[in-house]
Amino acid sequence: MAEIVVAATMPHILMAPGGIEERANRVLAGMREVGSRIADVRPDVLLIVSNDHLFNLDLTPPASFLVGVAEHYAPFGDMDIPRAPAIPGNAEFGRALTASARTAGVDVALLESVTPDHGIMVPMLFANPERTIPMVPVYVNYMRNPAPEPGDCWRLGEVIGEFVRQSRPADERVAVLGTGGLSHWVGYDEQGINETFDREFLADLAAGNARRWSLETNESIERLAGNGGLEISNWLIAAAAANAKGGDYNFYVPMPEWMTGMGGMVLAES
Amino acid sequence: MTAQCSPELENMVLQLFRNPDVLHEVRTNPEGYFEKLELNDEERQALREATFSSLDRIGLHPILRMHYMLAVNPGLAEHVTVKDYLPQLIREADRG
Repeated sequence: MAEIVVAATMPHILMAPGGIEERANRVLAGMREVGSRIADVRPDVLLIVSNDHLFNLDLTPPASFLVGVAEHYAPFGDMDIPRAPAIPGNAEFGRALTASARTAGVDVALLESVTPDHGIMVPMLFANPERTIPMVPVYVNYMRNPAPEPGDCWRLGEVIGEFVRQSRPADERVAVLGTGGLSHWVGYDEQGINETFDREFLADLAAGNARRWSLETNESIERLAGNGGLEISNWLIAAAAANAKGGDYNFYVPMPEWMTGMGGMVLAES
Repeated sequence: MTAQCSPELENMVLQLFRNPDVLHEVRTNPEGYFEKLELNDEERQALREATFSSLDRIGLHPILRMHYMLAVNPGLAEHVTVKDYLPQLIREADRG
């Protein structure tokens, strides 16, 4: 059976460091560490969980989850992210995963083409800096009404893990990266963060208690951590896929100047 | 209760970073473009004010509010960027 050789989580934004260089450098160090854990194991496939920020999809996409099945991905280029080179995909993996997930009852659609925005590309700067590892993007559709709940996301993660371990070639080595978060409010004038929430979430993941967050609701998460805080479900997908029993490494830097609690973790697998 | 965003407004903002012509129009001839799209007075006023609160008032999706603000606020665009890190990250990638 194939193996998830590394599972991790990290933010998917960066902002200008002016005036806050010390904390910005701590964020960068954390993202480097998490990214290097993925890049250094040279996986055959990097499955990356994120959400489109309306640079590709509109407000009526077709399913709760979408899986990229392109052979190459040219970045959208937002946030001054270089558009070249393109990143190779693995269409066969994406199609097989989608079929497996549908069989398991997951509401998932194929995404034939997409130009990944910062939600994919900022982590790629660290986890796939030479853009040579084939990636399979898995998008969580928070635009859907109702959006997938944390429990739905946890279930997708379990399905991904089962798919890799039971259906993939024995020598295939897969990395899973959940991205986004932590607390942030997008599109509001008074945009703060919730450091208490962020640290509680990180502590639970580090202690192997990620599953309890699958019982939360989008309503409660959004109230406490913002509409951007819903992205913790991207992390839950990675944790569920890996059967994570804790965290080997984690970092957290509150960055109110970036309107985001910036955290990441390398998950310890069972 | 937040207003419902008109399809014309929603599509305009969705296209801001997908269609260079739309971005150009909004940046160089906003009033003419709003007139062409037949946006109502409330929408035009909110777009002129260009705050997250004004865009919330007319029912624009939170992420699309960010798109509009990035398009019309150069200071915000200079803040929400990775360019300060690229030279260092590229050097590190080249070193392998």
